[in-house]
Amino acid sequence: MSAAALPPSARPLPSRPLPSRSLPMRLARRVVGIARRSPTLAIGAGIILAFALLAIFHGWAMPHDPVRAYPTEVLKPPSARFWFGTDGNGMDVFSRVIYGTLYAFGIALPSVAIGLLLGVPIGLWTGYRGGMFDETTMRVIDALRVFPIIILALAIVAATGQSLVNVIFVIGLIDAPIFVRVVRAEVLALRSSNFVEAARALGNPTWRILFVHLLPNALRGAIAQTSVRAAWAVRISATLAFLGVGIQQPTPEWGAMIRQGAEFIVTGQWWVAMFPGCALILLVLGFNMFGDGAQDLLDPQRKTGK
Amino acid sequence: MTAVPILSVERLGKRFPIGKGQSVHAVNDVSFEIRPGQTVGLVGESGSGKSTIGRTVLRLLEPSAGRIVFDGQDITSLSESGCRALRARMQMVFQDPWSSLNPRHSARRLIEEPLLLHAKLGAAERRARAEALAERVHLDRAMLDRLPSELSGGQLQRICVARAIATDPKLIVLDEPTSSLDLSVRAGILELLAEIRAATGAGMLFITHDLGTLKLISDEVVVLYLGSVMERAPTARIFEAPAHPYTQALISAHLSADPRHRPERIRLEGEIPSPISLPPGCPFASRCHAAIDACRAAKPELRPLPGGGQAACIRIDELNRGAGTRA
Repeated sequence: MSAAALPPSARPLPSRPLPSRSLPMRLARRVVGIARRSPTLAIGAGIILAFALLAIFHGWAMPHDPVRAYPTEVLKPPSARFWFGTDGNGMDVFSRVIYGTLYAFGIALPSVAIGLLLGVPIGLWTGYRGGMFDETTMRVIDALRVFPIIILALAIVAATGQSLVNVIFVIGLIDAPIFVRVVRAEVLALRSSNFVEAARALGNPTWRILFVHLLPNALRGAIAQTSVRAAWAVRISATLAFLGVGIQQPTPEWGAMIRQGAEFIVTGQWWVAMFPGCALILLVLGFNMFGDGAQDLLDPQRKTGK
Repeated sequence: MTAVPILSVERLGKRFPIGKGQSVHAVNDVSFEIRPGQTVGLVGESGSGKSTIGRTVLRLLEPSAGRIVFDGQDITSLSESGCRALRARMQMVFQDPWSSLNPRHSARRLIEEPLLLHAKLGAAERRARAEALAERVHLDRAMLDRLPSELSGGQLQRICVARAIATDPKLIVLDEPTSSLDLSVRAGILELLAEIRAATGAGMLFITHDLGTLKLISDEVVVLYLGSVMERAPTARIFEAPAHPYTQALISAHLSADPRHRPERIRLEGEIPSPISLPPGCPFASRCHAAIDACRAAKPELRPLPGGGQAACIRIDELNRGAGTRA
């Protein structure tokens, strides 16, 4: 081209393509940009998305009814008819693993939402107000941390009754202090910053300072934690089911399935426990990778020179 | 000059407790008043308590002693919600425009915020008012949809000024509004402030460590040292005939643009006393070239000066007897 013949200084600057105005294009560009900056986040998002699709289209993806027992097909190894084999009741493990994603999301999402709804406002308020309220709240949270989480969860579920709703509330309740901590830490750093004082000087009422000015600037840590807590919720709900509190057989929940399958591992029927176990590991991994990636992207301090 | 002051501060004190029964005496016995349309400059070194005074008179900090009367109302111990109702009439511009604006709000939203809080307006009217305000502070309309991170320091400070004048306040406290800006931008902001003062008749409290800025904008100067007033006088008098030894030292450190007019530089020696345990006498005695034993015995009260204004120095008369020959 003629431009190439000119000396570099005289060449016209490469014209930057005008930013595409169509929303899908901009969105796609953004997604690719984020994925390039954090492959961890992209892989995590991919795994979560795959499971989410399975959960949404479970009716479509399941070859069998997850709670239909085939009395003549008990503990059959994986085959063309039963891809992941059948369990002790003669139910299709593949269909049950797919249906289990509904439980995984159905527990993780509302429990994290409860944790956020409780933890974020408390964290905002304690961080902003300080003083006695802050001291008391933080000491109560410290006291809760003394108990091993799993024992605490077991105790509360055992005391309140073994229902799905109780499990969700218990997990949310245990999550709340974590959100209190991360939000409080950010608020403490922001509280003395000038724009908060400026907001007060302008005549903002306290609720507006908290929710309009502090909250959007203090959510970074909580957003990154959300996915990590979802992973934990999936794990702890399966753990509770495995230990026999929480969700019971023959509900197609992964923890309950692993509990049943554990009995058959010694006798060689490995597929009953292994497939729900793999699904569990994969989804937890997905949530954790997403959370780690998000943390890296959102925290400028953690950016290493790559 | 007989107008009722918009703000009068009487023997204001502010202590910050630091535990063990000790406290930092940031502001001691400071009195001054601001009349409508008047600009009072607060000048002092860093740590002299000037920003603390600015924040306390707006009740962003609780006063420890004294009385603050704003617009005829004693606001010294007004409740937080009571103060909030007053904030439409008293506003503040902060030193660092980069950190005093919410980084997630657009310029438009930032300028609309005081209107949203204090004026009952429809969305369309608010929008129009915000655009008119932007015009008043000479901020290009194209900048209104940008975030603070996409604007320059001068533009951000214009947003801060627009926010401060949005509700037609009677008092504006300016806490070093130009000291974090480039010199070229600084002049623009000062011109803007002078314009606004002429247009609104608001009283201004201008806090700065830069005497040159005060010479341009203020009617009266209050010189602070360790939270106490050293001298208080009309601006012209302060610059022509500084009476207090500390003011003299400050003025001599201020470089004049005219090379033929360079007064002899007074160098301050000695230690600044700790604001945790202030000496009983004059706080400036440890660095004052004219200090005598009596200076360290009791804290001097402000006494009137012949040329107008007041100074807190027991030797003020004998020191200024030869003032005519000094200048």
